[in-house]
Amino acid sequence: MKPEDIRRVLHHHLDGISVPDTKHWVKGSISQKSMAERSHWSRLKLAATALASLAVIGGFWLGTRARGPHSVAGPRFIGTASALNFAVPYLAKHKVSAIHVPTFLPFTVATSLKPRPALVPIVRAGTGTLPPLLSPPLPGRNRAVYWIAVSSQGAPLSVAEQIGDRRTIDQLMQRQIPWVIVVASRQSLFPGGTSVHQKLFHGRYWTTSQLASYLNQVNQAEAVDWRQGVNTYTIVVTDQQVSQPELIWLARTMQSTTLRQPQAFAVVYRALVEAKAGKPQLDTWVMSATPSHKGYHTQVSLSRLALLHPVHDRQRREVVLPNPPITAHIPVVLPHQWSVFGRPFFAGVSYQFNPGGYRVAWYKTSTAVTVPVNAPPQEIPLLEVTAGDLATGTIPRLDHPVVSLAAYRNLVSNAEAGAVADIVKIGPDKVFVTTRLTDTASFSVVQFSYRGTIFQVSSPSLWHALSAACQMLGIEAARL
Amino acid sequence: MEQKAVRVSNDMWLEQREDHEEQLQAMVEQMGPRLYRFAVAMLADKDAADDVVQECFVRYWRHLDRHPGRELGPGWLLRVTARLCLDEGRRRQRQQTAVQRWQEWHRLTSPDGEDPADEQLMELIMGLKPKDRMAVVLVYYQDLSLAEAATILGTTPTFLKTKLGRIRRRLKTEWERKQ
Repeated sequence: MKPEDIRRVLHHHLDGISVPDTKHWVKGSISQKSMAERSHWSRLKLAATALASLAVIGGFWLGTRARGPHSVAGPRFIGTASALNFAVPYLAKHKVSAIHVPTFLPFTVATSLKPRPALVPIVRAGTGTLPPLLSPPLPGRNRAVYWIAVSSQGAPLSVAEQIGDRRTIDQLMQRQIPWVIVVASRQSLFPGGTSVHQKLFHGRYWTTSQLASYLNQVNQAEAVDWRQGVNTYTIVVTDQQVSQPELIWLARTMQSTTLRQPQAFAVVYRALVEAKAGKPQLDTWVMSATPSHKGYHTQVSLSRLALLHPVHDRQRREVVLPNPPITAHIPVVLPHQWSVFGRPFFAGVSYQFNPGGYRVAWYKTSTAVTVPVNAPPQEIPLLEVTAGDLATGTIPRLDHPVVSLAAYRNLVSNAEAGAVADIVKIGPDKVFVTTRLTDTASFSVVQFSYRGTIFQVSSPSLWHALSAACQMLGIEAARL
Repeated sequence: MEQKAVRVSNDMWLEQREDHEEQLQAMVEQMGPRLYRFAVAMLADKDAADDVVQECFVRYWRHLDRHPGRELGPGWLLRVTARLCLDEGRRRQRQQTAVQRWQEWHRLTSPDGEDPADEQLMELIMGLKPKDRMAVVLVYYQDLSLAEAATILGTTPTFLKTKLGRIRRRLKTEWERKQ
């Protein structure tokens, strides 16, 4: 083989490869290095945290091994979650190379430049997913990036100034990614008045009242129950069309997720992106933030969960997703068997589809996905079933954005929904439903309330857990 | 007085930081695409290549601070990228070989009507062992001299020359067999 042939073939195949925008290499390098700039004492502190985390993980692992495969799963979840809440932020901070920090968000500015104070106010977005974005992306553009920040204490003026800073906005615009920022705050995040920002944001600058009137117009006002006099909400939508379900979802999330103290939170967003050669792909990312002791969210991570390739139906001129749209992101607890996938893990980017159409994400330590393992126990999907619903036999209302009605229907209408978990304890306050754990199964926990009683269901999958929940409540799966 | 000294020191730090940022920016513009294509040739995965190049520039940025006077040229970056690619490739080898990734990716992105002989040769190159492939890419694609490539690969120019001859013969045999 002549060198010229090899040279020609290599150039032919490699020269045509498009190189991504080089700016993010610069920004990423600066931000990652800045995160590495720690004082001696903070390094020691982190080392101590690491040792403590390992001890907790080891303890938990030994604990799970000691109890054996047939132990009660429900109560153990709390301990598991606590251990993970402790360990995962550490892991998240130290696996920065695996994280694509969203450099287009102002939060990166907060985390990367030391002299500046933390930029992000006390926020929370709830653990939830956006409705699937089924409309095709704009030519040459990805679909959308969502960020929801809700503050019950109001953003400090300095935060407002920095978010509204012209340079920051220019940077955002330069990325040319259609994006949406939804911010709720007691005070306007744009102290310079709205006119400038209306221009910057292409005139799409909505306030609470505007959103409410819009929702009224589309007969969706009942979807949002704005609390009067609590906060001033500001919604900023930029450079893209937002569909009605998306807008309702945003509004609902905002009104239902406010906090008085910082808490870890995550946003899962799914978007159709236009891949190379015009092939659309379904992209799933998790964006998460962990709070610091100062009351600001200082660590923001963005991790890809999955990239799927929908089928493009040319005759119908639409994109068909390979699976039904999945609108629930389910917190999954550590699998009982640690060596299921060949090596120990907590968090990961692999996933599977169960027969009900749910995506269950697994988590392993090698990738810094902090969500929703990092979510506190109360973040577990909450299913509220009212007495009236039961009496009339209507479909229970799912009062948490995490679980959608459609997904729930898919779940229980599946042929395998008959398999239910074992009820091991029923008390006046709590009901635990557990299943025998098999070698390959992990378990998830569903918590729901009925007539003031908190129910918690554990099973190898959410699908099993909800079936069990239905049985406990005397609801036939078919009725749902 | 003390405050003034601190301020001067801060100014110097900021100035130095700005210089380094400019240096990084220039290096990214000069070497970014080259490193990226090199990483793609090694890993056959765009995302992984992106990560590797990012990590390479992170290390470059850190070294600028730690060794302000030291010259870190393209050779240094190529060396770091090469090591990162080998590490990453080793990790990913368990799931899928480079040639499998390449075939999958190529199937999705390549236009129809390409010369099948060329495609076969490219697949054979992607099927080489990582270090052999690296030698081929460095010498025949990155156009490095034998001495430069040998430094990156941690070997001698003479040995590299012999190795390349052996690789070419192997490629020829394989290619003829496939034809």
